[in-house]
Amino acid sequence: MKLIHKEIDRDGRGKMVLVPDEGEDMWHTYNIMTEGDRLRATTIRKVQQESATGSSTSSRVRTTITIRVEAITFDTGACMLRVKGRNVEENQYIKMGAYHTVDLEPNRKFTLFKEQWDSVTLERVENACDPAKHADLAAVVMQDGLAFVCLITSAMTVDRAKIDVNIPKKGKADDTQRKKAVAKFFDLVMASILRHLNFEIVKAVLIASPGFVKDQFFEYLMRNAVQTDNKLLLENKNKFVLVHSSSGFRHSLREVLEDPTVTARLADTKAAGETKALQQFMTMLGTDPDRAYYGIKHVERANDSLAIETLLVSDSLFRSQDLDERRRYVRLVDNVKENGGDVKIFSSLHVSGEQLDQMTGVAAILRFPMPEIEEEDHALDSDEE
Amino acid sequence: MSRHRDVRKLDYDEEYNQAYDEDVYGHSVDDGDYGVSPGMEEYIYNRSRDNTQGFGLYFPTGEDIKEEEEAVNGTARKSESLQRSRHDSSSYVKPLLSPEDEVRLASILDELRNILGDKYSEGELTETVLTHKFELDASLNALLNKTSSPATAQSLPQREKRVRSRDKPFTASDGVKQLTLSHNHHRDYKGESAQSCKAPSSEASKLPRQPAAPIVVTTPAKGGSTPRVVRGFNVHDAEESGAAENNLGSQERESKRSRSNTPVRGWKDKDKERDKDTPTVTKTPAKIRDKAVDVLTEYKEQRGSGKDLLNLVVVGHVDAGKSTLMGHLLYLQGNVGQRTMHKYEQESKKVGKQSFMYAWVLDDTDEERSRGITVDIAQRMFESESKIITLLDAPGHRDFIPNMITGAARADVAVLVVDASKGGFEAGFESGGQTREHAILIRSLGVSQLAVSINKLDSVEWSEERFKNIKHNLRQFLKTVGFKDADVVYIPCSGLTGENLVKPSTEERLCSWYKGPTLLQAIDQLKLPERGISRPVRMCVNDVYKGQGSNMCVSGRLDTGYVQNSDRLLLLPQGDVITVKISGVDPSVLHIGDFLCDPTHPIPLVTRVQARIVVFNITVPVIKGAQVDFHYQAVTEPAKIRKLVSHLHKTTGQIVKNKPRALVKNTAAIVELEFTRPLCLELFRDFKELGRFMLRTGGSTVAAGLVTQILE
Repeated sequence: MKLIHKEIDRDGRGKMVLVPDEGEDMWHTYNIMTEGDRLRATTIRKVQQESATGSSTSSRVRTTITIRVEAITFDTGACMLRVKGRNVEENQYIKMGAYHTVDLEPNRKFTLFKEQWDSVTLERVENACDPAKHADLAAVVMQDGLAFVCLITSAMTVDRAKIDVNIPKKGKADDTQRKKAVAKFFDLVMASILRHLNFEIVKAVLIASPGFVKDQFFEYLMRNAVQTDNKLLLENKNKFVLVHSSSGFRHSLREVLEDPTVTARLADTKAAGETKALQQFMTMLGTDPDRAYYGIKHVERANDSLAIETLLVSDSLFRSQDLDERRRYVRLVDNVKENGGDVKIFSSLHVSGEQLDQMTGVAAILRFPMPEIEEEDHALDSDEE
Repeated sequence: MSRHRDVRKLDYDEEYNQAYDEDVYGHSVDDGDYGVSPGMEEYIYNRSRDNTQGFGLYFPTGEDIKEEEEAVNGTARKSESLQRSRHDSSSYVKPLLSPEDEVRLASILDELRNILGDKYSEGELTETVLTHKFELDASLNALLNKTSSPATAQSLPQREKRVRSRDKPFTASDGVKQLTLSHNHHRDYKGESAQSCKAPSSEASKLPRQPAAPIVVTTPAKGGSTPRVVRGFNVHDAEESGAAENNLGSQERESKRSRSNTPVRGWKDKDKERDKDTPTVTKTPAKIRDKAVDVLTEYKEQRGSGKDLLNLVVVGHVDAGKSTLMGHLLYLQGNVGQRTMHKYEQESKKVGKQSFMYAWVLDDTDEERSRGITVDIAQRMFESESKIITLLDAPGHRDFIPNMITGAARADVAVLVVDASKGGFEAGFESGGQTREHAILIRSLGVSQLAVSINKLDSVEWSEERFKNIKHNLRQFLKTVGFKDADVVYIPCSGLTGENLVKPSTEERLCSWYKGPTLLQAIDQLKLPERGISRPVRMCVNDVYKGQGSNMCVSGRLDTGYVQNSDRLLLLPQGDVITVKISGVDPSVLHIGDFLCDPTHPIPLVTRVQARIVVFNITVPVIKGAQVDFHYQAVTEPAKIRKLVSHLHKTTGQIVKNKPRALVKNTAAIVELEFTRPLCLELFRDFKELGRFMLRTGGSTVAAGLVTQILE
């Protein structure tokens, strides 16, 4: 994403002109925009004109439209952002107050007006405009008969394909059925790798599975590539990394990203950093539960005592439609930063972010144990009941 | 007075234990809730007691009453029973014994009470035991001979009940009623012996138990309808067709007869045999079954005079020699031909893995052979003296525990194979090894009888010391897991040399100290679980494959109920309600883990359940929203812990805390689970075997659980 122009008052009011470059920027935009903002973008409209004689002609016109945002939808698969709202600036084609829906297009600039640019949003824009953070990664998580092909970018994990094939169990006299089913399964996985991955962008392909499925598959893939003389695969052979995972379900991707061999390759991608932080939190919860809390109430209480060392927040919380709630989280983030704490904002599209979302979306590792939080809470609970 | 009270108290304990022994996995002894003097206890309201009762509902306990002396707190129990004996024997003065004898006496008394209930006084028992010099069998016989009449009187009502229950088929709701009913009985009986309590509750235990004959339902392609079934064996030609005559068409009879001539052989043979049968064309209208067959009589005829069917799973650490042991056993039993074995020998020699030749009997895919590791469950049948045994050889590698679970879920009993070689046992037994995990898993999945095969003893010169050492370690551990000493046998053997597998060993170094049974004998002596044929049909699909010709075959374990030719069955999940017809099933909707069930009593399809779980020894605590792998029968599905409802006390089941923040290791809790797509689940109290599950994450087992409530 490129930032063309920025104009923000001291009280946080103002506008920004941005140009999204790729799918991921749409995701950032989705997170930056909230209801009530004003969006100015160009769009193509079909316009009907009636001449004086009564004959009508219709033509397609590119025009600039400014709407007050009422609904935002994001399609993760296609990385499309579509914004609905009422027109607030009349022009020759579009009436005031008319409802319009705008699809944001890559490489076309748009302007976003906000009453309040908060710190989290500003940081997000900054991150999005940082060109250094690009390490696209593909992952195939598989087990016998089940595979997921995913793309991992710095802010998103997108499922590209799910392959589910029934493989008969062993123990029949002739093994051909099983072999056939396995071959079919591998074929499908291979086909979806070729279809969905762009090896020019993808820096590494992780193949993860329990047991030997990954080795078998890789062997199959390479044998097939040699047979069919598939240059693409042969040239990119060294991009494949085989990793162990405990199952072939999507959530074991988290485990994969924790693997030291993978983290070395990922270096400082956001996904790896998030996974690490979450892992730290979990370990802390196991070893010293008084230093790890989750849930907004607990975390806020810890924050009041300036106890937070690392704050983990899911970005889904900042998309909240409730302005007060949103402010609450922003305040929390600002506070923690002020007090010298570390804030990690998780992308809810990553597996680790998904997991964080499941556990209320906010968690904190404390500097010192605070057992009183839980006791207090317990007392409160019993009061409620 | 004090005596009366004491007896009552004793019974409370019994109940308390019944309800819990099923569910207590590994943890330390905790009897801290008994701070009250024994006489007062029953007058004091105790929440935990009520909870126990409530929870007892989920644990049909009939068979467990014998387990009253819970292994977990064996020591505590012992001291308790000693104490008890002191109360009882107010009139009887026990002779002075050495502490050692005291302990022996106590354990024998426990055993006796297990068997006989409480109808003999402490004094009587002690006396008998002492006169028979601590010999359990002898004193038992003496006691039984002394008063055989009360014993029969007591067992009589029990038998009657059983017959009655079989006559009328149970529905699920019946089962529940029955359970509650029996529960009230407990209270009434409390003054009486444990034995009498057993009668109603054994009723309960019977409900969910079921045959486990691997069956094959075929769906042949030719026109008509009906799935058909071949039971694992049809031994008695005449009787069987006789009984079947009324309800089967003549064509059908023909086919049955041809089948019934089949000796029991391997799996595939049955398939072939079945394919020979001509499919019957029966129009099945709305009615589910053409005629009600007297299934019970038929079942009895088939099973009664034939051999019993037992499902056996073989577990243990990777490279403990499970496949080799079982392969060798099959070979010695004559289930593997000389020529095949020779072929394996040559081939394995060629690749330099001669020691794997017996494992190849079970590991038949190329992948398994080249790596020398079992990946998936192998299934074979063989016969012992009194049983037909379905052998399930489980993989030991930790990555394949999901496969192992699907196998263990089908089993009634287990063989735990332990590597006795130097360092081998330790590797498998220490924290990283699978010996522990497998033992916990099979216990959690409802297996209560275990034959521990201490393998590779040849590598340590058949050292008795090594055997004893391992046995000691294992016994300690298995107790904490919940296996009772009486249900575990230890057999020294060698899978590679075949020593002490089928025939008693000729190896001098072993004979000199070991006189016990061989592995096969030990397996043969394992007790058969009750089968409940009169329940609605439940069959979990373990495998879907193409039969010969264009038939689709599904195979799995028949958990409850019975299936006969021309039955219409319901296939779930998939959301679709499908009547399995001859050509009616689209192969693409058949999945491993689906259930075939009775259309009138379909299995519930759920996405959200409440469950009681016991958290194992884990490093990362379980928190709200945790994503776990849910293992249930043959299914493995991702699931999410939606809510931590309450944290329970490990032994009493009392709620310690509502809405806990996290569940740390070795705790019990009630949680809510949510699945991404609907699954077929049964409540534990309805179908004991179908209500158990395991939760795993990141390659380690997090918890075992029971479905207590279906929410959605």
